[in-house]
Amino acid sequence: MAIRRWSDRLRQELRRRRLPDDYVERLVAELSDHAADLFQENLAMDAEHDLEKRLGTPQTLALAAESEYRRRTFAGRHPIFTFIGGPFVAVFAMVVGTVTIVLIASALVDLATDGGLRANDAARNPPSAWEMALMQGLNCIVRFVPFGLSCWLFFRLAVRSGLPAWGAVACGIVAVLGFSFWAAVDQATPDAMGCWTLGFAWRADFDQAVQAIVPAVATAWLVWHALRTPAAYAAV
Amino acid sequence: MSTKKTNPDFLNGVPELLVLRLLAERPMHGYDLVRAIGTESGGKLEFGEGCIYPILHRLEEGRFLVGCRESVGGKTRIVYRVTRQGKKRLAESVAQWTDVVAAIRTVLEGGEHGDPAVV
Repeated sequence: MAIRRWSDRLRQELRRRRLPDDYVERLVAELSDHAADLFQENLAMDAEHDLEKRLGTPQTLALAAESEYRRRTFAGRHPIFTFIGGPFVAVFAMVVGTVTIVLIASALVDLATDGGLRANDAARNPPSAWEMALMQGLNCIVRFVPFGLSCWLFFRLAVRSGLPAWGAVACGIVAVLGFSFWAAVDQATPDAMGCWTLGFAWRADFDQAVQAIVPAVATAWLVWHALRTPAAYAAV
Repeated sequence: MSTKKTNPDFLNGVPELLVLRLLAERPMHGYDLVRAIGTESGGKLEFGEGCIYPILHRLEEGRFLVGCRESVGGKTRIVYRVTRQGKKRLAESVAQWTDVVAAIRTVLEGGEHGDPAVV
């Protein structure tokens, strides 16, 4: 009975620290085996108190387990590098990657339409409605995908490493970068060529705010998650 | 068993070193390993026995150990073995620890008159 009660308390404590279920179950199983061996060796030992004296309290063990679990991951060993430097690198790489994919996609469309996109000319052959819709769609991909993907990456990393506070910092950086990024497609007019412009600038308009929504929601969730995590590990 | 205060930075890597060293001698499960640490250290190293498992799991994740479920004395236990990578890590840790011990000895014996130790 003492082993069962002690194991249940340990399991509860490990789950409270958001450690993965498979890790929790394996640790509890091995410690229960260890406790059974202790009882077998020392028949006079039958109280939960004795078990805590030998194995450690559930709180102490959960703290040690969380600490060791964090050391297993690169993010856990190098949180500043990962969660502060990482978002800048990830967003930059994903913007470049997405733009490259979009350019390849538009080149393929151009090829499929026998040079239809290149033939556009503001005065004589303006882009059709579907061509404009296509360009706006591709522009939306560039506006949202890099920030959504970067946010997902750091969110997963933070949850897997048990570092919600650091994850909130990373997603917050992605949200700020999303809010600073702008991309727009201008339709060609008889007086001016059409153009696609991309860049980082604080224009603080609605479109930029929309780009930051996903990372901002992730940041808020991780902050809430961090506040619910035991204090010793909630702090950045 | 009393709770002992330690300097975690100073003793960083010691439990890992002990685990690798003892498992390099023979494969063991957690309970056996804890007993071996007690016996081999003459009962001088005391710690919460449960804390050994998170260390074993981390070393296993780093591929320094492999754990296999095996029958031991009629009971099923996870028995840990040191891998080739683990042996390499052990050699590095032993060298590092030997340097630290040598440096401390130099200081205790009046380091300013002796050769400086490289740590």
